[in-house]
Amino acid sequence: MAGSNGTFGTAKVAVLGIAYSRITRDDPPEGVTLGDECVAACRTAIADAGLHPEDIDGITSYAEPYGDAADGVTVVSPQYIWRRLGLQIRWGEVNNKFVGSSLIEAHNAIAGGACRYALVWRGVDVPRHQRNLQAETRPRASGDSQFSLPYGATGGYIMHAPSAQRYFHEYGATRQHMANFVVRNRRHALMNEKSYWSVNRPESLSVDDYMSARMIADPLCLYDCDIPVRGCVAYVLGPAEAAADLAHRASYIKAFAQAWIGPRGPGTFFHNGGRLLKPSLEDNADLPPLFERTLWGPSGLRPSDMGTANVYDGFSILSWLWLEALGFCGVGEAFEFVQGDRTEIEGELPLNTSGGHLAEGALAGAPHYSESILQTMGRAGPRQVDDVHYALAATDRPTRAQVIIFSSQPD
Amino acid sequence: MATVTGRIVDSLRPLPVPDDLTRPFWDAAKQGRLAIQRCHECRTYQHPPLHQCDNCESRDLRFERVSGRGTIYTFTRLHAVRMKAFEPALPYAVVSVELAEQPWLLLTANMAGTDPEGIAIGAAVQVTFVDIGDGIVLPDFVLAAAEGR
Repeated sequence: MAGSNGTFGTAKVAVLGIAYSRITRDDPPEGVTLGDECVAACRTAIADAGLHPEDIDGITSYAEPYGDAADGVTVVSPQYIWRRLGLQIRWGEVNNKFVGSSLIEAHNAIAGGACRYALVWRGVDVPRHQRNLQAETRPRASGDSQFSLPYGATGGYIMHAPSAQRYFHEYGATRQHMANFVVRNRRHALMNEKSYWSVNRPESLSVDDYMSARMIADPLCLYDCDIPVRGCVAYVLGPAEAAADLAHRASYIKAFAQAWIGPRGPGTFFHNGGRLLKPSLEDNADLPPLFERTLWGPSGLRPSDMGTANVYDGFSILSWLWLEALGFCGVGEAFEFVQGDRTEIEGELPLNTSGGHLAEGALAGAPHYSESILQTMGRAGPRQVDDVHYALAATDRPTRAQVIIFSSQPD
Repeated sequence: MATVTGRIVDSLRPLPVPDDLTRPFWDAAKQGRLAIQRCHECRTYQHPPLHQCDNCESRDLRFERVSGRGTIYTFTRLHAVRMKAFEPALPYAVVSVELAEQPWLLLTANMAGTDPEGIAIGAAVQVTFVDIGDGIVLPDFVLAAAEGR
């Protein structure tokens, strides 16, 4: 049934199964490929959903076309999984980078009757991509990059560090404010048995460690940037009624929204900030009314109904922009909102309880969706939040966004 | 205290490839002028150039010389970029300059040679030009005070 404003989750589709590979920065074991690890994660997720590969009739994913991407080695395409698992597919779709877009597409395919059970996954090997980057002596800069690359304006942080600088300037935030979020984030990751830090380096992070960390792009230091990892995650979605046979609780998709505003073009802060449309920080102030119209209004829910939230933190500053965009606090208030105990696991809004991209690992948004799914399933282990009815997950930057609210109940 | 760093190696900077849309910008820079695409209908500036006006969708776009004055909108200093031209200059500044002509009309710059302590949001700046070889002259900015303004 559609919600009051048309297309909506309304808990008619559920996440039934979820599985991870080992998250690491090491090379795969001899003779094992990323494709093998992804196949294993998919099989485990299918089994977790109480299903068999022959039950799966829909697939959706994304394989990032890096310069030298090799299918099954550094990326894992829909064709690869389809063939390796020998699936009988009725519906398939390729999405954008973040796994939230696949979850939304899978929801729509199931709700629309295009398939019954959809398999969603991401397999990434970010360290290997970075290692393979060749530094040409004098690269050519064409298209919009001719106005940024000659100035050395490159890297993911070139959009977010200046945005953070402007945020600090406008609202009076400091690195000390950010330390609070990043340090707690690591603490959460160490309670998450699948996170990069738990699995590979069970090291705590103190405020002093954060404050003395090497800078990457002022005001962002090493720990403000997500940790590049190799790893796979897989999910199985199906109709809500299929949840009755599960050995565990399902996670129902209650509502979702996508945003697509801000500068045109391939888009970094520096490439297109000069367009008539505003730079990203100012765009963010336009988002609370947008999400009111597309997420909160139609779902009948409020930010205060969320038992926990996992918002994108590929760069730490994004978590603040997300809290403001979604109306958890006012514009320019997030840096104060996250101080104190409010966002602890026992707090009013447990935030990024998996460790997020910063500390579970850079897995195309999976740390945020997985955690909201696990929290609503009641399977979040030592970091389980009490009585989670609704859990929100949001990825990418808020101006180009996917947001999903998961529910523990088929309501 | 200012941090003394090496200089950006201009001859190794990534080389802009002018195209039909952007050639007037680079031609003007070669003559020491900063020219920005402007809509002849609604008079809105836009940068980088587009095939149509982002405000009114007019196709009547021309390049006009601008004052070259502006203020620092925001900036960062990059500490970890692996590009040969910039390695000796680490950490180097990347600055977003808002031109005086219009809000959010932003240009990227390095402000190479400027005391890092002087790079602050809101500081007044003035365009300058750097010959980076292979037929390209790159606009950059310096503090307006340094120009005696």
